[in-house]
Amino acid sequence: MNTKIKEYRTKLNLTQDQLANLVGVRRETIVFLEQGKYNPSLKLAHDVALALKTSIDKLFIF
Amino acid sequence: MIANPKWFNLRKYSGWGLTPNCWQGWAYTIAFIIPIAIISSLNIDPNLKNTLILIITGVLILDVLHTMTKIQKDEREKLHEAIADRNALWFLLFGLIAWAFYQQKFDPILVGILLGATAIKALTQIYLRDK
Repeated sequence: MNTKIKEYRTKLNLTQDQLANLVGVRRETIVFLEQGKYNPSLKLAHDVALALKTSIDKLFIF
Repeated sequence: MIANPKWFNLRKYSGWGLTPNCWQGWAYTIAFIIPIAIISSLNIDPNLKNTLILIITGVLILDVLHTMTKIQKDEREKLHEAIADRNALWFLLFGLIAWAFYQQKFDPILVGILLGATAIKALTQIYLRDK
């Protein structure tokens, strides 16, 4: 799985810590999400997409 | 209850339970250890001593269990904890069964524990079935 989380996060000038706080997870989870090493639940994917003002299909590439 | 979940981290690499992460956590831990140590050293009726220690330890265990459930975990941490606990359980299960065979005698307590574990698994599956 590839993700564009880092790209969208950088566009919004958000740090990994800030994004983690926005979606209620630890920073490590954001790190692994960005690296495509963690497959999130639909809820977390939705929350991340919402925080990054985009949609799930643009953020996660399967 | 008594402890604040922010005072502790869940143990990940050294078993189960809590590790203090600030002075409040250490103060809480010491506040339970000191009375137990003092009561243990007192020259009083052994029954009273055991009862007092049992009460304090009981309160501590209940509070720790309550705090463990209140510590915030994200979904990745929950998943990792579940996998780690499952692996530990399998080791425990095979260890107990191997020990039972090694002893070569029927141990009702051991069988009771294994049946209890089976019942808890079944109850958990029933509880989770519609979730």
